[in-house]
Amino acid sequence: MGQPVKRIDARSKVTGRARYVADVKIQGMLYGKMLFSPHAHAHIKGIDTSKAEGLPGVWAVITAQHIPGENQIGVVTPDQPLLAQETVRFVGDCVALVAAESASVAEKALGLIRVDYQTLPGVYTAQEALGENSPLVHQGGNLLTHLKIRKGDLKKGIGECDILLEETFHTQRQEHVYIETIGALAIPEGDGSMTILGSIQCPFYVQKGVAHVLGLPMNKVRIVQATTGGGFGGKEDVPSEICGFASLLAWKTHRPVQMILTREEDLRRSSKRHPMSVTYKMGATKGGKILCAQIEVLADVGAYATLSPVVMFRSTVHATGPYEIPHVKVDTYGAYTNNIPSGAMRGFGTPEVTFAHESMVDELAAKLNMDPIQIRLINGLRLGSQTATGQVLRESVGLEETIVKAKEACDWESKRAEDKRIGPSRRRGLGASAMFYGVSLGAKGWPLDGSAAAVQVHQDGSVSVAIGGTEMGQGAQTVVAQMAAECMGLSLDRIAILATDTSLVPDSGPTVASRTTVFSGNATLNALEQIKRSMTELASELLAVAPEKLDFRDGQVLGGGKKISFDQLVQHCYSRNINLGAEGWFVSPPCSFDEETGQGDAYYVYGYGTQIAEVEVDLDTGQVQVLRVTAAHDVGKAINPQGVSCQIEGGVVQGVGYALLENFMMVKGQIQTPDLATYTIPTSLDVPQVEPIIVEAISEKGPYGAKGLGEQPIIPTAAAVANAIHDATGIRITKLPIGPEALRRALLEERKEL
Amino acid sequence: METFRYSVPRSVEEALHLIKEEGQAAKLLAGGTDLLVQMKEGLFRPSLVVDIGSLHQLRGIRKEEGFIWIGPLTTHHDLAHSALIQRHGLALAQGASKVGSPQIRQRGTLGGNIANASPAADTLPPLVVLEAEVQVSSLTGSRWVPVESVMEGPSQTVLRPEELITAVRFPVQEKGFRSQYEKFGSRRALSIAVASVAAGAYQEKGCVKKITIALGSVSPSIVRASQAEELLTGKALEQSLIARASTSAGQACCPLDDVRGSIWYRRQLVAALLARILQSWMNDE
Ligand SMILES: Cc1cc2nc3c(=O)[nH]c(=O)nc-3n(C[C@H](O)[C@H](O)[C@H](O)COP(=O)(O)OP(=O)(O)OC[C@H]3O[C@@H](n4cnc5c(N)ncnc54)[C@H](O)[C@@H]3O)c2cc1C
Repeated sequence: MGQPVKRIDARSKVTGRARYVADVKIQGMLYGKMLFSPHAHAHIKGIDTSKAEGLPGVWAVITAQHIPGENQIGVVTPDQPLLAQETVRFVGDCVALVAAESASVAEKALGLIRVDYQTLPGVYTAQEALGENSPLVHQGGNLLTHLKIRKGDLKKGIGECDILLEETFHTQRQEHVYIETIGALAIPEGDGSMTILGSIQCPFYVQKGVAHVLGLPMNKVRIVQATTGGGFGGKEDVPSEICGFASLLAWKTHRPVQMILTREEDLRRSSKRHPMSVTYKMGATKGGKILCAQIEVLADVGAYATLSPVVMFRSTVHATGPYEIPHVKVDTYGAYTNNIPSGAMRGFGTPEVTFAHESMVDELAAKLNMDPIQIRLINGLRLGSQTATGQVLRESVGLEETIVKAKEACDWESKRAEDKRIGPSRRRGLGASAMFYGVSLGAKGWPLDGSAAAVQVHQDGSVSVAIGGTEMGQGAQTVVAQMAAECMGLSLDRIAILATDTSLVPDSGPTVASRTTVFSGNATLNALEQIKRSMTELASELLAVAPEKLDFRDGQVLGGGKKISFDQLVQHCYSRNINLGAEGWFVSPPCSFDEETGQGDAYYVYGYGTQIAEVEVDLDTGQVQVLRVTAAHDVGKAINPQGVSCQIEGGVVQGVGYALLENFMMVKGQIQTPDLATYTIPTSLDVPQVEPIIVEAISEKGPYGAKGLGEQPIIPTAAAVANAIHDATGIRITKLPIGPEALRRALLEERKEL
Repeated sequence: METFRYSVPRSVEEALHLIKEEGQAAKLLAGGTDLLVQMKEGLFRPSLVVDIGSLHQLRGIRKEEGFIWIGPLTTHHDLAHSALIQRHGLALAQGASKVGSPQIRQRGTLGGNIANASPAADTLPPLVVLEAEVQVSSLTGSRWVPVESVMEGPSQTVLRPEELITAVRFPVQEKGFRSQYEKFGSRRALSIAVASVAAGAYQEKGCVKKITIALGSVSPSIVRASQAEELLTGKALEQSLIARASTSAGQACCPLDDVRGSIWYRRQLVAALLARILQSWMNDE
């Protein structure tokens, strides 16, 4: 542990032996397809499915009226019918489902369904949505959430500032582009229960959602996670919809139904990162101490709430960035529109505000003629600091170390001083950006923030661990196996981690919010400690050594000059009927958030990071190439440093895409980027050299001191790139992505002497 | 995808018979990198797919009687790596090397790129400046058509359903000729050009004797920047001339305005790309 190890799932994935849900074909299986609405907002006047039903090979056509349970799938707010009944609210709403003997027959059947729509006026931006007399997306009004923070005395703060800046920033919709699209296989069992195998991030959400829709008790719905090719938040709640579709068809036909989304279907249905407009007013003294921040965030939630209330909570808590600011006023608003729902995506509301606050901090530094690193060190959170929510940080604050280490590793001082010109039309620049990120669900998600693990030590001394957190490519299974091996003093190959299965482990909440290492890890340790206690007791008796002197190490249990091999001890336990199975449980330390003032201990601990990007700008075309990103992240104890580095690299790459390329565009509710030819992500040639630096500010609550990491690395990248572009050209871009056309235009408009 | 019949002719003659008999409803398949995508999207629903991929006589690059002869089944990978192409038609090698990704360059062919007739096709502007011709054959015979006249608009060519491209050739130019291709896309690979520029010129003692400039992805077809060509002909390359010619080339496009870029931006790009080519030539002198 603490050493880089090869991932335990690497071989099966590299050799193509890992089984994804699309690889599973079972006897009598049908194929499911869904019919999308062509309209962003319309009334459904009637649906005629008779022709489709008559098509040979079609087994079922389902519309909302056939749903046996409740037609409701909203995970946080009950605002989302699984199948549209009277109204469609975006172009990914589905009005009918088909199960047929092949995908192509199902596809053909979709073409035979006649839906009579009456189009309705829609709203397509958050601004529009909150305007007077705007069409309503839902009856209760278009404002879904408003959260606030009130700290200190803003007026007083503004009065004391020597400099006050104001700017509005805009961020775009981003798609996850996990390598495997969402898919499900629903199998109706003989006893009336339903088993679902799927590409999913949060099996317990799916279990609840499917039970609800089918009108079954939860003990009749079993969810098994298939090998899952990436999630990034995109498989948090949306798989409940797809698994819901497949299980409805399976329930109707009494046959297994597989539903694998094509990339185009997936892009059209799955939620995206929130587009946001963010206005900052930030003021500081001449010496660079930031005294006040007034922040207003307006987010386009899309047609349904999905996870927006929780995403906006993160935007709120993290709006000021990782800085101690005495006077703060934050208001975040999320408004319904007739666009694709915005939901969970890596960073969960934080990259958006980070782009803004890190641009602001750089602007303050520029105006004060101060080094951007210096201003971050002056204001950065440290032990004993108070966050915007009034939380006093008592442990594990590695921000300063990440700033200093990133700065040193990239040779900041000499590079910033270098000539920016590297040719008649090329300029280089260096930009920094810092972040913090609350680990796990925090005050708004606390009731979901418990996690379980079920562990068994088998007769031969091998160990199985079933965890409630899923493996979706992030390396969760490997770190849990490492911790289990460390705890039992066994080698890694003695530990097997089982695929997440709702019948093996109690509800462990969602696999999100960078929480799995800590939560599944602690739950596993909790179970193992119980087993160890029983084993220690017996070993003490067999060896005649006091239990507190015994240690589990190198496949042995030893102490007081005596030892017994782990496997032998296990055999003794079995021969005496000592239970070597246990269930572990871990609950988040308490968190709080006052709705009126926004004050409280929002998250139990935070991760911190600093990235420095080096870019080259082609002045003639406006194209930016990110050459290098130095990324220092405080992760608490790095259980698998190799895994941490990989997460950092991946996050930076996704962050570069967010900064420069990716933009899921909609015009009047219609998707302009329906496929991966038009929604472009970085290719291997667009990826910068990434230099990961691991900082370990140990967290008491974490297993072996670990904190979470999955999301952090994407958060600061876009701002670092924007700040580097500013360093190279003097141009401040306030809108993502920073496309070449926009930059070229800005270069010409500002007519900078370059 | 709809069902279709599939046949693999063993000779050009057989291929021509097959497409003649099936008419409109037949589709030729070379590398399939355009056709299969289009069939999946339902843009084409051919009743017969004629896979010409195994007609080896339609593949290869040769120097022959003052021409460079290229078989239409030659892949982008082979074009990019051919010493003959690099020597006599550098722009084409550069164009081919910028198509898609290694996988696409291994499968995609020159003939497919021409027949697919995309304004963004990376071999078309180079072929225009190399004054290439395309041999179009049917059961009744064959004819050579200048590449500029093959494409009539997006996805539209002069090819009739019963015709097959059987060769592409361009003249081996005299000493002093050079060509270059520049492409701008939003990313460094797998990127459809937002704008592209090919130029081919004879220079003598620093003076441009003759120049052809072809622009890709800025209008429904490949267009020539005739005014810029005129401006440059007979003159020695120097900064202010390059600036004027580049701006004028930008004006020559009657450009597309789409998600990838506005008219304004495409003009900016054409100017930047042409300037890049001319500058590198000037610096070489
Ligand atoms: C991911 C991806 C990226 C791409 N990137 C690029 C790019 O960057 N630049 C670019 O220019 N293109 C690009 N393309 C398009 C494509 O790869 C090229 O146009 C390629 O040259 C097509 O050749 P092919 O052999 O695959 O054609 P096919 O798909 O086999 O055929 C294309 C068309 O040409 C016809 N045809 C083929 N051969 C003949 C012939 N000998 N005579 C008459 N008709 C014929 C076919 O009937 C069909 O209509 C890309 C495609 C993909 C899928």
